[in-house]
Amino acid sequence: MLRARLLAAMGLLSLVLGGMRLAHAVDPAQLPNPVLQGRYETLIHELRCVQCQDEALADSEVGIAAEIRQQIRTMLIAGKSDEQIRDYLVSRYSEFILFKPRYSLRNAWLWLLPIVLLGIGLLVAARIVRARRALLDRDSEPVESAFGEPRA
Amino acid sequence: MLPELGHFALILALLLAGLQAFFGIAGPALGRDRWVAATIPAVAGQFVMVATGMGCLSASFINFDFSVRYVAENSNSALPLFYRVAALWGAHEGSLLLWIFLLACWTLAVAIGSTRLPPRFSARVLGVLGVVSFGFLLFTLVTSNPFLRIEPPPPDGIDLNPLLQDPGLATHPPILYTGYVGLAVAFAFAGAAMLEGRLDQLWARWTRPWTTAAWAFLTCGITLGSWWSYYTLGWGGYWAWDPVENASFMPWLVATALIHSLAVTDKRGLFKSWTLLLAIVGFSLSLIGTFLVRSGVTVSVHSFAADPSRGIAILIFLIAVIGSALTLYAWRAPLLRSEAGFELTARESFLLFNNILLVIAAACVFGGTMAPLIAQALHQPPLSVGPPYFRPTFLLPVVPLLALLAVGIHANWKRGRLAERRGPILVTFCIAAAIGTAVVLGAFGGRHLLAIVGLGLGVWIMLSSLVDPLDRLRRGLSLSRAVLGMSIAHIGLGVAVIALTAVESYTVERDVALGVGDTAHVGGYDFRFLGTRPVEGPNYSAIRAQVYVSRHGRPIVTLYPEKREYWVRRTTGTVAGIKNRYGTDIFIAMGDDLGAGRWSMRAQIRPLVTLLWLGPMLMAFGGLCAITDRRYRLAREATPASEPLRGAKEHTA
Amino acid sequence: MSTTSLQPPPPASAPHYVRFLVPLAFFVLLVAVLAVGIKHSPEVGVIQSPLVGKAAPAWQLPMLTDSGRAFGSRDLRGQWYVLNVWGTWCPTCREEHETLLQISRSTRVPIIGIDWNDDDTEAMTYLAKLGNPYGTVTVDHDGRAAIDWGVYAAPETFLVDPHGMVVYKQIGAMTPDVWRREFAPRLPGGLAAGS
Repeated sequence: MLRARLLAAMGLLSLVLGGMRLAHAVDPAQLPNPVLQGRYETLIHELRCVQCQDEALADSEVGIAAEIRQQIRTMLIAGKSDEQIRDYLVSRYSEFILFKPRYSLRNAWLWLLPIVLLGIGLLVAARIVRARRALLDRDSEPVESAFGEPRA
Repeated sequence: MLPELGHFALILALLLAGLQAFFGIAGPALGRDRWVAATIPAVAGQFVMVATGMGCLSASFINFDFSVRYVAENSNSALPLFYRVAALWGAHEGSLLLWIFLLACWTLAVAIGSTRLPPRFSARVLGVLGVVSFGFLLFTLVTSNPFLRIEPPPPDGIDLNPLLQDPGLATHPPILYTGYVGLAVAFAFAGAAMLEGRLDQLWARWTRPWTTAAWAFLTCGITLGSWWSYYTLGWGGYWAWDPVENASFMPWLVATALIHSLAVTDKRGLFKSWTLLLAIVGFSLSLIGTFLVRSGVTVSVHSFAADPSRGIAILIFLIAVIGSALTLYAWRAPLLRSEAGFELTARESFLLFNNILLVIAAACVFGGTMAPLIAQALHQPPLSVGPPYFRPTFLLPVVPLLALLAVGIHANWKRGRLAERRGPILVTFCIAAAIGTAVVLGAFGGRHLLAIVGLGLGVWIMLSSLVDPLDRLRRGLSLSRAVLGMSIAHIGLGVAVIALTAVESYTVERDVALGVGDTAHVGGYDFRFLGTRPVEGPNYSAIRAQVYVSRHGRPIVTLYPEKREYWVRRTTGTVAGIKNRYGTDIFIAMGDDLGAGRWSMRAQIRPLVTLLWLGPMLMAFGGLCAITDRRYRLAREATPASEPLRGAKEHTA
Repeated sequence: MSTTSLQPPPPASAPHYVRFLVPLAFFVLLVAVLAVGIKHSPEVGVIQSPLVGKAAPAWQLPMLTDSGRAFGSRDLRGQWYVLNVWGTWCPTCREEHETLLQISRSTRVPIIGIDWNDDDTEAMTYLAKLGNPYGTVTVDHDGRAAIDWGVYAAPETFLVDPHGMVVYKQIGAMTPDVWRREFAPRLPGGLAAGS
């Protein structure tokens, strides 16, 4: 029946539109010591939920997220390092699961971008200030102070 | 009947926008003054038609007309009136119509506010706005018509997404879009200047109020979205560096740079080509943001349903509008020159640093947002970028910016004379450093260096912004609105910085499992779970928990968080219980039913969060205050021939 | 002079003009990136599996029909197999079920099922009612094996060669078209047949 089919189509559409999910899986599991707990919390905020991909692992209420969190807890208790845990997940889910791009040659441009831009900015600022300083001697107009009184 | 009327009105609006664009650009170019004069009626006509379209769609929502597909997809017979109206912009097609409507409003405002401007210039401004309107209307009518019907009409709609059934929906998109769209005005002024072949201080003075107004709305809109996310959607998450959030933040950063650059161009005729470029880039980022949200190119909770053909259509629109603007820029800008000079410690210098640092911040956000797409285009393995990247790279340029603000605000134009202000600068710095260190070590038990820096900077900015206004008042002089507005806005920034530092450094968040009668101790507060009971709402049923909060034995409040199930869409929602105590939020939300009366819950303490909303609101208020300064009204009544504009002489009493 | 219009200034050098083309050049690059983005947008959210071309994880899970017995990669050494991750809660798995049945009837390659995050009784009822395309069905209750395979949504189907290497991964429903295009050509002749 056409009506039913249309309703089903709208239902499918709603699944797409309803792709906005509520954040926050409440996960009361705790690790045995505060250091591990701290590492755990940092990790789950740095990793992406593989199903609800706009959320962090810490925030997603999907089943696979809970399972991956459990896996991380197990690995932490087993004494694995943060990098080992990341490697484990990246080798299965690709770097997409990381919110923090790895420090590698390939990603160098991304991490160096702010520093390079600051360097360029400094050079540009220096050039402009120097040029305008030089023009100052020819410029004898009076200008206001910031707040309205005329100053030379 | 009404939907067809609405559809027809939009078609007429398209035609009128086309005429507006044609008369506005060809008229002055060919010297046809009658065409020039015809621009304003075209603007008025377009506005009326677009308003009619909005009205028809609203009426369809209010009257439960499910034969209109968009209404069926976003409404329901149980949806309260308030949300039926707001649902208009709850999804792609309707939000586009909102865009178009707000653009028509801004255009009308510009037309009314520019009656005393040289007619050829104002016609060009309206013409450029007409081009943008035309493009959006064409896109809407061809790919995203909100008036399409469903045959036969379904018996009921599938309801508005429950996440959107919140007061935030009524305020965030309209105000945000007002800001987004408002940047088109600066863009249009830039376009008109390029078409005319003239850009001078008077032009800057005309452009400033419009740009500041758009900036103020954008500030409010982003803050409202953040507030909405914090209280409803994200449980304390107020900024996720999500691609779409970044898409609204980048125009804001550029707009902030623009209002400061315009100040320099206005005052001294400097940075002309730079200001021109910023005006183009600001709105371009708005358009690119529109693209990102609607093309399905990025992963985001904000994305509307994706459709590659829509993406291509928007991309073509982007190429046409931004491409021609930047081509015009490459042609016209090289001829802009000025011969004014200034010192290293002059106000111009500090504003130059302000611009450079803001643009670097915007570029870093841009790079991070685009990185996954760039990696894809270069056939590299997928790259993923999130908050752990954006936070440090954003702070790197912004921390020096804040420090320079606290010093630079004392600088005079042209010759700086900072040495005369050594006293206030040192005093404010010392007070700020003392407060920062004391509060961090005392109230919060030490910890981050960054917290001291953040708090110190926020206080320093606030104090520095107060120095000169207080000094003037002390001497019995009056403050111009522009100066008052600027001071308020900077104070607001200081407040926001303080709030951000507090929330980022000292938030305590814990997930706990509680049985009835159990107590959790989080962040110095005690949360005692007293049980749950079922409740019913207008379109949902819920379980409501009762949690008693106390501190050191003294009662604070009883909170009632809920876990809701919406009938129609069959989705769950959670409503947190929140108490604000001296600006700090005490927050509890329900997790899962663990069985046997036990529930998992999340408790949070977020210090000074109220200032996080207050600060930006102050900034926006300051901006709006500054716009009302007399100098802008006087400038609108001046013409280039009659106004020599030698930098100082107007009446800033 | 504080007001300037565009009168001819002293002639500037070429680099001066070139720098004003930079924004436009940058925009052209941006458009190229966005255009590529549109082309790939149907795949947004699909995680490209790093396992393809690498060794499949060693796995071992209890069987659905006999939870005391374990089954896993050790039992499948030296042969081609198709691994299908599914659940009764997953509507798309239901859609592909018919295709899996057809494939199981027409090819000698075993289809091994991992029933993920599911209820055993419901799974058995499901297979009894709709037919069982699987040579063996195993259950994964806590998601360990699924994570090992990099599964993030059901259904997902893998093709593994006799050396234990993952040759192909299908995300989403299996269709006759996908089998014909991606799975069958990778199998040595005689093993695969179309469906």
